[in-house]
Amino acid sequence: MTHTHLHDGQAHALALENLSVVFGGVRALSDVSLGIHAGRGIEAIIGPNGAGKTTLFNVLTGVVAPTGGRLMIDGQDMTGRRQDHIFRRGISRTFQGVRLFAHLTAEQNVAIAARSVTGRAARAQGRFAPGWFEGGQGRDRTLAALDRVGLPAASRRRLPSQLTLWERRMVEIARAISSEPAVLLLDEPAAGLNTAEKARLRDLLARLAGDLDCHLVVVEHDMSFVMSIASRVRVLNFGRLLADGTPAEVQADSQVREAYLGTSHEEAGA
Amino acid sequence: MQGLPQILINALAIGSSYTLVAVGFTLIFGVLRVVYLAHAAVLAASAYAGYLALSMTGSVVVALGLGIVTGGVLGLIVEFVAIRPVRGQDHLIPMVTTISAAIIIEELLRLTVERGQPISYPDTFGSTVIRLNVFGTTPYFTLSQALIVVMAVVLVLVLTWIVRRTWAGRAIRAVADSEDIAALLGVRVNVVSASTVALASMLAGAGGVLIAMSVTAIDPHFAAPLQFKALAIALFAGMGSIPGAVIGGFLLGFIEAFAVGYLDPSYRDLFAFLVMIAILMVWPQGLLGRKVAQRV
Amino acid sequence: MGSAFEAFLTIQCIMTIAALGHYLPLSMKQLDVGIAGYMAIGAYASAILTRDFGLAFPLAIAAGTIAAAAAALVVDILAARVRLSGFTYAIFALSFAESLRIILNNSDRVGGTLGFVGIRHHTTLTGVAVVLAIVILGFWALDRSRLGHLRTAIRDDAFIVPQLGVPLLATKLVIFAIGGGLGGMAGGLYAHYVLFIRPDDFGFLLLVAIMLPIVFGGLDRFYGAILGTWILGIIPELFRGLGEYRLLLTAAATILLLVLRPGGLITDGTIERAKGLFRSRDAHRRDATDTGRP
Repeated sequence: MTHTHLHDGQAHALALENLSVVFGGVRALSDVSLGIHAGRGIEAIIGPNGAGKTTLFNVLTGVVAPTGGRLMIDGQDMTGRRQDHIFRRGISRTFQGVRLFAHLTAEQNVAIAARSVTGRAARAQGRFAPGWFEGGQGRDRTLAALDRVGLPAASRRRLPSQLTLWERRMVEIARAISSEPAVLLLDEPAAGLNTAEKARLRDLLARLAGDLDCHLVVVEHDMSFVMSIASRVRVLNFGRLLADGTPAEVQADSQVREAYLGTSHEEAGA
Repeated sequence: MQGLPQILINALAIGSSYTLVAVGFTLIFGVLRVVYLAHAAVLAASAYAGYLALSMTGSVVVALGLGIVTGGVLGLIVEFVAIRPVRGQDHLIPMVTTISAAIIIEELLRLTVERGQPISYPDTFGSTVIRLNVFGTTPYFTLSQALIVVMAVVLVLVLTWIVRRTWAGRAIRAVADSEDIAALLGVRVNVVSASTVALASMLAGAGGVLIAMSVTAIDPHFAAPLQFKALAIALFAGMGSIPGAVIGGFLLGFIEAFAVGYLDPSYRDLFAFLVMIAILMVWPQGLLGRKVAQRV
Repeated sequence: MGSAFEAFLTIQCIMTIAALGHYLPLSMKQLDVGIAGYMAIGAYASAILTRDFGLAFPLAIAAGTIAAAAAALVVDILAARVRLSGFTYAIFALSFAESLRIILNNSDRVGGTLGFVGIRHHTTLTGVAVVLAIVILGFWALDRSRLGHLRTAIRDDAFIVPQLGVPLLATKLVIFAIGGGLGGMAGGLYAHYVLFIRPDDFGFLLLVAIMLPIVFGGLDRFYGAILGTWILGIIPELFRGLGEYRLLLTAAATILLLVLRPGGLITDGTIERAKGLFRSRDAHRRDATDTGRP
């Protein structure tokens, strides 16, 4: 179970092949191979602090160029390609601790991402779309995304500082799904939310995966949240893929219990 | 066309004056990490103070002393007014406040002394010309050029001693390494910031008087090219490196002396900028390494 | 040429165009401080074209604008190649502008240090006022355009911008080029008004004269740059004989304001409070009906 089976014959929206990342002598990721299927689904990546989860996201979105290995999107090698190209190929993400543009309203925040995919789509249909002014398809996508996460109309014209944490997180998710991605990477989406909000988030994510026909990958510390939402869990430890399987399989894995669940209880409640 | 010995002598003198300016400059960069652009104004003001002392007492020692004191005091004022209140702001803000402080100093000089017309230092022993005879050429130097070289060596050694061996120097190095950690360990960052600028400005004060003695005339803006060159040297050395600034200062001195000797002298000032552009293109982090603390 | 007042207004309008050009990179927290160089390129390019090639004035200004925009592109592409940021960016842009000044000083073709003479008078107050109005309209539109929103996004968090599908470098370069172009336009208008330009007119002091008022006015809104330029331009004129102290006053006012209000005169906070004043009565009434409180 310690190795993923990349050549299992199924279509991967996103795949890493033998990927390594070294930062100044420190191996942040070593020889990680994993594939994320196309189509609806929710899976999770867990691991102790410093295990390489955020680095993994940074590689998947092109922020960090890998030292070795390949990043494949839809079967095409995208290693070392620019971040905006990777985004337009359908890989979208949220950020640890919610990163919104402080001087743009909720709607404008979403539009930044929504409109970066519309120009190409419009041009493909033969329409003139310089993409400089508001309106058109970008606006439709923006509003649709905000509707999907259920952000009330009154909040849409507010700045992030005037929104609650829940609302800010919804704006960030709306921003990430506005491009209708094939894979949505969520970095600690439940952090700081209360129990009721976590339940709401769980329902929302399940619904998004279905509605958008999109595969969600969640990095999360909250074990009960992860185990209740993900159909597949991968465990990272010291930059290596330690385990990969259903929540029940992972929970039963002795290596995982030793490296993660057994030794760091404080992670579970984070 | 000058002979090689003459060029070497000029290179030594130019390099010494650059070193005097650049060493203080790089110290400020390494410790405060701001675009500090008031160094030229402090240097010019010190040169004016030296002029005052020299015309009243005729003593080069008094002039140097007053220049150093003026530099130190002005440095403290600039730090207090233009750096301390805006620490932690975006790079642009301290850049603009130190430029403003420089403008205030330069404009006050312009408005009060001789309506801003260039002034020349009175004759001292420094104008005495010494002629040598080397392999058939007759290179010469003035005593003020010799004084710059000697003083540059002495003052840089003193500064290095202060930074390496004294308690204040340890605090400076701690802040250069990490302001936050130094503050946690009880180093008073404000005191370090002020003393760094004061030390650097005292060096500039001495440099101002010494350089003014060997140029024909000074005006409130006479040190502006020196500041740009010091900037180039600090970049070359990596912000915060005293040995790097010394090497860089003499290197630029040699480049310029050779350029003046063999090429078109009117492009002399261009070299500093071309060097800066080249360095930034090739080594954006500075040439002689990256970590500041070990090199201060 | 008209009165001294007319001259003052004309120069102020030209400086405002340059200020808006310089404001663009600064508002993204990118320290491209090469504005004096871009103005020099616009001034010399357009002056050569009208004097030596007999090109029509508007075409020459357009050519100067394009030349300066191209120069800004070169500077910023080079800076981006090696990922300069913060003060190394500032030093790089300054080196470019100063090198250009030294090269011009040594170019006999344009008069060297003696200056460029024989420029015909073309710039009028009406002309620059119209240009300035168009530029301001352009900034108003920019704030409402995608490009304007991207500019705000880059200022707020440049790191995540490319991860939202935005070509970060291209976006920045477009804005840099517009800024440099405006500088070039201002330089061309300036050359055809003062009729005599020297390389040293475009030195560090010009940068200071443009940059200090912008930061004084505040970088959060483009009208902060306009307001700063006019406030610091008008005050010395109001008091006869203060012209001599203009730079001194500008510097003192800037340092004082930045110490008291690091964001400058007009900040986002100012705007929010101003909007709040208009809204408060309305909102208060709504609150009262919502909650039943008096």
